[in-house]
Amino acid sequence: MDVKSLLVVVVFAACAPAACAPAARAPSVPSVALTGDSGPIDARALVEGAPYTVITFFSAHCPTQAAHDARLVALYERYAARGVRFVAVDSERDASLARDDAERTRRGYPFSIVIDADASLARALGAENATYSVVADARGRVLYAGGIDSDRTHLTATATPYLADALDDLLAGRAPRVAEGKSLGCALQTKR
Amino acid sequence: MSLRRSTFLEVAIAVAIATAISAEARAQSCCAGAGALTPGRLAPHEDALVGLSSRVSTVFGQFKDDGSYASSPSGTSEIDLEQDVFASLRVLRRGQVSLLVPFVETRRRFPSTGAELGGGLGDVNASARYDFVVAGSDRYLPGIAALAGVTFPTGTPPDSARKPLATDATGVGAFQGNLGIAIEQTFGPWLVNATGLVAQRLARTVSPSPNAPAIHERLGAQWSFIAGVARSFPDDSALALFATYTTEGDATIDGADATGTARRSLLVTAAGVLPLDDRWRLQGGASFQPPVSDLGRNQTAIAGLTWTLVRSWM
Repeated sequence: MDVKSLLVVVVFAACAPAACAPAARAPSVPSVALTGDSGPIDARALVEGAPYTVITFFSAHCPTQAAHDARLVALYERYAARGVRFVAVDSERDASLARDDAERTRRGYPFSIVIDADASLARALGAENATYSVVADARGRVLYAGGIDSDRTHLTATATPYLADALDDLLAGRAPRVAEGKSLGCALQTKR
Repeated sequence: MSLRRSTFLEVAIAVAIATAISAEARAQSCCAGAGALTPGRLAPHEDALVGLSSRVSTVFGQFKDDGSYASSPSGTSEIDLEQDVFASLRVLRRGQVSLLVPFVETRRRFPSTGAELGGGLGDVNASARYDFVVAGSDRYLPGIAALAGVTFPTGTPPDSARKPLATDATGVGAFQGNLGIAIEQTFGPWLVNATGLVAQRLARTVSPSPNAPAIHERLGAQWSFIAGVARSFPDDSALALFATYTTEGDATIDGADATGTARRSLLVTAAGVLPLDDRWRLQGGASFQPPVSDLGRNQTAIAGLTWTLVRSWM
């Protein structure tokens, strides 16, 4: 077998379907096990009882995450009073309750960070990178998925506020003008 | 939803690799272009970019055919300059294609001839990359990418140079194909990379002089092995450090091996990326061939700097 053929074999053998196929997003929040400050929690429980819930995927080491901390807090302050629930999910392999609790305090998050230890929720919702966010209704239907806005690490006043626009539309009884926004954060370093 | 990632680790590595390969090419025989890799590697969140790169390098010694190193003789000097215009475009979900157009200038000086300056269009390079697995997306499976490129003989080969010191030679004179594989993995803010490349040039006919018969020459296959590490920082900047080992077999002339023409070299490169905002970034690198005998063969020893300005679209 010549070198070129060997390269092709190695590449395709290493290309496991789960890694190479595009991530397909589930239409609703699945019932998967997460871990919160109070212990185990089902992902469906995150959305029950609130008209809309923002689930945002968190990475402790991502510059885009850090750049959006203030904007996430501002979104919470703007929409929590209107009944929107916020929760961050840490699906990375180095996640821990102690670390995430410290991060939540340091970043001033008024919402909790729960752990998605085996990245089941991330895979189900198509989350491949930090700051990827979904908006789900009380029945768990995903109505928006994508980035918080069109900025990455250098924030501008002219960024397209995908998440805010989606929440405004939903609270006004409309379908989100953009159902899938572009997400620009770091790749989530999950266990698998 | 496509895979996106906001660190510039991959870009820093691409800068380091491109700096290393381009420096190596310059040391060989004024090949321009960076083979299968260009300074225009797209970060995972980018869809397209254009850029302008500028390189300067100086020759400070020579590795002879027996591998021994000697400093450049007193009174001699060579400074190599290159400016590249390049563009990259995202294709499919994890692929990218790039085009690089180089402009090459060389200044040589010998005590007997004085200084001479020449240059022109170099060898244009087209390349492609496909990431089958993105680094960091799996705990155990590293990122795996296939690399390919073609270099076109758009420059002036050495045998067609008109100036006495051949400073107007800007290309190899032969088509070159490149294939490679890159493996990389992330660990928090760190990324490690190993890349293997093989380049093969097509044979060409050379006429040494009007009265001499033409000869058919083909440069030996060139293998490059690159290994290094990069680190990203909270402001999304990144630094990378790499070593590149390149080995090339004997050339063939009229079908027979030209014994003693094989080459090898070791190049150490440091590179970095500094985002100016979400769409503009500065990239830079410094490369150096350790002047230690047996680390090179049939090569000039160079030290160089590269700086690049990139405008991207997300």
